[in-house]
Amino acid sequence: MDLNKLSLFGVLKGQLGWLGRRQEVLAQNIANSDTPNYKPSDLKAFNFQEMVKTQQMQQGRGLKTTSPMHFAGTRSQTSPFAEAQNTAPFETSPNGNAVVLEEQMAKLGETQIQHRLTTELYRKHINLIKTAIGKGR
Amino acid sequence: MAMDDLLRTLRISASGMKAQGTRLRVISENVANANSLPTQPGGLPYRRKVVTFQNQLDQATGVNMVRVDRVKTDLSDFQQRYDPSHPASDANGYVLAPNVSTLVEMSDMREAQRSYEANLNVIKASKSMLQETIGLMR
Repeated sequence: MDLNKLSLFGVLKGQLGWLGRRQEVLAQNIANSDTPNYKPSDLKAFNFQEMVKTQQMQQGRGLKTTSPMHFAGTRSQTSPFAEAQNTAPFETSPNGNAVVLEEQMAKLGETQIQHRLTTELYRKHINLIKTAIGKGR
Repeated sequence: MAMDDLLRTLRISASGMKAQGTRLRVISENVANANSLPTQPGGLPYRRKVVTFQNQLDQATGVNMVRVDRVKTDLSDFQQRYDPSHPASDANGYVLAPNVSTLVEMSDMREAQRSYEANLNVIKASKSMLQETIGLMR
């Protein structure tokens, strides 16, 4: 039985990936909070169907091999989650930096809480399956 | 996949902390030299240094790290201090003093400290998220 075929596991896995990626984007913003002319970016809201669609699209790309001697070619791994630069920031400092540290920290906390929620749901679902299996483990 | 992202997060924040550390070092140089006067007439006192940041795309990981661009010197005018007894004083009794304002340096120091703390909090958050992910196996 493939656990990823259960829809809830698939969604939770996608959500965990999204949260990890978002954490990375926020860390970039915070690390560059004093870099001149830096504009913060954020991920677009998580949408499971869209993520599956882009992943399927990416699998079809790459070099075609018509002979076993051909190399498959390397393709830089792109994230399945779309990134968007904030074009209308709250404020821009005189050096052109538009990172508002408070906003970024709030988003960071949000990401952390969502991550906890997702891992907790994952655990509950596992327990559900364990119950279904029964005590003869 | 998610683990990779979180581990890269740690590296990004570490680069931010390193940059703020360099900034703090330069600030301490400025403060320590706030009274470094010239030793002979016509000599120049200590010139204030400033740090500029630059974001740098790390080719190996494809993420925006931050690094110290260059430590430049502040080209503003020197202060003048009246002290005829000083060996470097000019004919009118004035001696050139560094263009360091301790107030500016202190507020700069606070800013560096805040940014450092923010990066540290990102590392803490990422660490707890990683631990939650690992905890799924238990």
